[in-house]
Amino acid sequence: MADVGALLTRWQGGDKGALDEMLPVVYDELRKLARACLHSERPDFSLQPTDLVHEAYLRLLDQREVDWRNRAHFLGIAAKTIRRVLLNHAEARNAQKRGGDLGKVSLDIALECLERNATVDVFSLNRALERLSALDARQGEIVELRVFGGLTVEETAEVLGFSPATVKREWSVARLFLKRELA
Amino acid sequence: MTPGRWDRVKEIVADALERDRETRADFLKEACGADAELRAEVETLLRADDPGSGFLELDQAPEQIGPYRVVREVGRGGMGTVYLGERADGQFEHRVAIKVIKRGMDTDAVLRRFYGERQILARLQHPNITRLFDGGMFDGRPYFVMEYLEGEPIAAYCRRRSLGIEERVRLFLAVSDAVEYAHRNLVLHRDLKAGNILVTADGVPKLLDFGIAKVLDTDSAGETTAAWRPLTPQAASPEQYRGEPLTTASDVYALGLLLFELLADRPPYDLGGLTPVEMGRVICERPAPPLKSADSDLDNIVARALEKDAALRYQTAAELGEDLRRWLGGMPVQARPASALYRARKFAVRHRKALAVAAVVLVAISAAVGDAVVQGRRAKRRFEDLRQLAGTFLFEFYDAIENLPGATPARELVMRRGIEYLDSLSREASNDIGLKRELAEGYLRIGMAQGLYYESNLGKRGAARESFSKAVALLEDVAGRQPSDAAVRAELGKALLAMATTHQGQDYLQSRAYETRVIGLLEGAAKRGPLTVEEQKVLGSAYNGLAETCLAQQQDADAVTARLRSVEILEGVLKAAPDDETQRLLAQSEKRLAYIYLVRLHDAAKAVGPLRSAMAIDEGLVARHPESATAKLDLARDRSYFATMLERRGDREGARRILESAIGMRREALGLDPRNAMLRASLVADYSKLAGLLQGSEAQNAARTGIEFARDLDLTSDADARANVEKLRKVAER
Repeated sequence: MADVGALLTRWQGGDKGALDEMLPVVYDELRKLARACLHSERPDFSLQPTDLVHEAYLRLLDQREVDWRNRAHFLGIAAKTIRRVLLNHAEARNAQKRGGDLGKVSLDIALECLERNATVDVFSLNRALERLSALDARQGEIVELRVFGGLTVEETAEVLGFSPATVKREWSVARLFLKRELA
Repeated sequence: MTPGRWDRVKEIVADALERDRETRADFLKEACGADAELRAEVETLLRADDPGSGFLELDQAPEQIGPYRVVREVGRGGMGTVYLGERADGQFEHRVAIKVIKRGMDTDAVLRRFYGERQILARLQHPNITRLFDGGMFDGRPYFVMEYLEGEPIAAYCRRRSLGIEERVRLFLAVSDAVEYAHRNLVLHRDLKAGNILVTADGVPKLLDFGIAKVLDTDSAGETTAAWRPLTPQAASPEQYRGEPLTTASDVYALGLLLFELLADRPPYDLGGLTPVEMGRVICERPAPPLKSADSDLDNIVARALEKDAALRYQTAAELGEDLRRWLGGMPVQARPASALYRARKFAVRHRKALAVAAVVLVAISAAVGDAVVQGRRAKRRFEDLRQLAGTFLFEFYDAIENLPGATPARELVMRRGIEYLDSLSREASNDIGLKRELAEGYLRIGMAQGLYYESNLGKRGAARESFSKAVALLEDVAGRQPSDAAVRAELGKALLAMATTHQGQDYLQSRAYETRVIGLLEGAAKRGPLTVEEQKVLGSAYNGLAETCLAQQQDADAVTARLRSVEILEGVLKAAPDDETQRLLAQSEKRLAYIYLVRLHDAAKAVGPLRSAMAIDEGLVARHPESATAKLDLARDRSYFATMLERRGDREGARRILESAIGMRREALGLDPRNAMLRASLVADYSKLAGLLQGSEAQNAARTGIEFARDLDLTSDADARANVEKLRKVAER
């Protein structure tokens, strides 16, 4: 398996290719984790996408070697990945509901279960988020990191290179935008 | 809306949010001016603001958790979020750390285990262990309230101050002493790692999260996959990685990792970027690299703490600490290069699991004995905890080793300790009826273990008898106080029957005396009122035993009477409780009854009825449990008896057919358990019978097959098998 820690360092050093190598690893790990938690069949199972991202982080990176900035960057990548994972899944399900390609798309039951646990409906959140990003790319990124990656204000600030105060301010408005759109 | 327009909207909204609601209206009027559209846009957004709704309120610290006011968030990790808190009632200045476990952990199980452990954890009072004060539920999630500490992770502390080797060892000793203290209180840390140890400004190391790993470990409820085991692979022992039972030696391994890291300024293993499989290989197989300090004794100490095989490590933190103190004092240390432990290693590799279990049991039991003896009942609660803990461990251990070959010394030790434990509690039991019954059950199980493992050893049979007699004495005492308690009566009956078994094959008068006593006890009770199912089962067993004893004493008529009664009683039990165990007992009784008719009384006709009943029951059991070898072997025995019965009645063809089906079942079972000598002996007997039913080359073939099965049998100790083989040889050579 690729050394995610090393890839992260390369990526931060400006090597764009490192991200492409990293994404499939993170993607696999997230799906594996989702499946593992499904198999545990806990009746009160309530794992959420952000928990999953943190688990992936704990498993893919040697805690000793990673300082909190690296952690933030990894979580940022994982946030993008989980958004994609969840969205692909939601789209596949909707396609199946409409009767198109029936039987061709095999729905991932683990993701189904994960999606049910998300605090907000992934599909509509995604649409609202796309609208927000079109208006304000910076806010879109902040939301993605915070909602899908569970990053704190400080971590988000580190990843995006803003001050925490800016992130906090942008977030407070972005949250209201989403709330209104989803109401 | 355009991006430019949105920029204006969001600035106004953000500014408005920073004002309180009273001044907002004025602010909006001024900021939006005459732009009604802008104003409307801003207002719809602000109307969506409803603090406390939970919608995407991501990291707002709760204001209060239980009785604690939350000051701020201080950290976030794999398990959840940690807050700094204060007593909300302001009664005393009391700062605490509150760890709220994240969602996704199995809340119910965590809470259950937490309440189970809380008292024990709260009792851990040691200068190097952070206190656990409290815990509960917050927002559907468990939380723990702990001593709040400001400090520096131990490894960083050592590096920053450039501490010398001896200073580091002394700092480490404080940690290992704390672990030892916890072990004496029957608590394993399970997640010891450098990151879990802070050094305060005064230079005192403090261990965090003691025992929490167990509370969070979904494994102990048997309901997790490896992915969710909340352990840090970097700090895991091989047995922990494999999901095996943990012992004090597992914490010793973690201490070894810590000591290595403190002395070498790097951990022994680099697991970065490894797949779980690769990680497992490193953790479980790759020997720790040599420390290469300037001192080979210190290297040996670290190496011994890091042995992959738990049995080769220091068994407790105390042993590790002692050796380090010897080293500090310039004395020779106990740790030696591994070659000196070669023999131990060979044994341990073979019995890894048994030893791991044994170590846990030993620690638990030794602690319980020590505590009970030294403190008596001074601390009643503690006593109760220990009694339950050690009792459970003892029984779990008994079940775990029941089918394990070898490891006799470990077993002997555990049994000896188990008896010490029971004896010391017995002295405390005076009027505690519940405790007496529990102790009696303990003695019964120990006695059965002794009887089971030392069947051929008469001296140990005496030991089993001694344990059983203690159980009898305790239960007689209880029965005397509670003469109408049916459950106690059944327990006493079981204990007396256990006594009877220790005399079987030696002193039939004694066995018979015990069996008769149980029959008297229960038949007497039956006259006063209907027996419980449990009592009936015991009574059935008593007649079972009596029938066999009578057979051994050549008193066939008495044997038949007892047998018939046991069948009658078991039939009654079956009506009330149609469970498989009772069915099996009934089938066995019928079978033994048929045996008496067939072999002793030479009355094949009378054997037909009981054999048919036994077969019907066993066929039902096989149909319901197609995977059970025991059920199939029971049925094979029925059929083998049935063949004998048919042969005696002149139906040789029928006998051959049914015998062949019995042979088929037994051969199948032998395929699964090729070393089962009893099964081989049965097959030799079957083929000997079959050869008698066949003629010419068919008989010769059967005889040769039978001889094959006899090849690995020890014929010197089995007269029947010897006679059968003799007969088979004659047929084969015809």
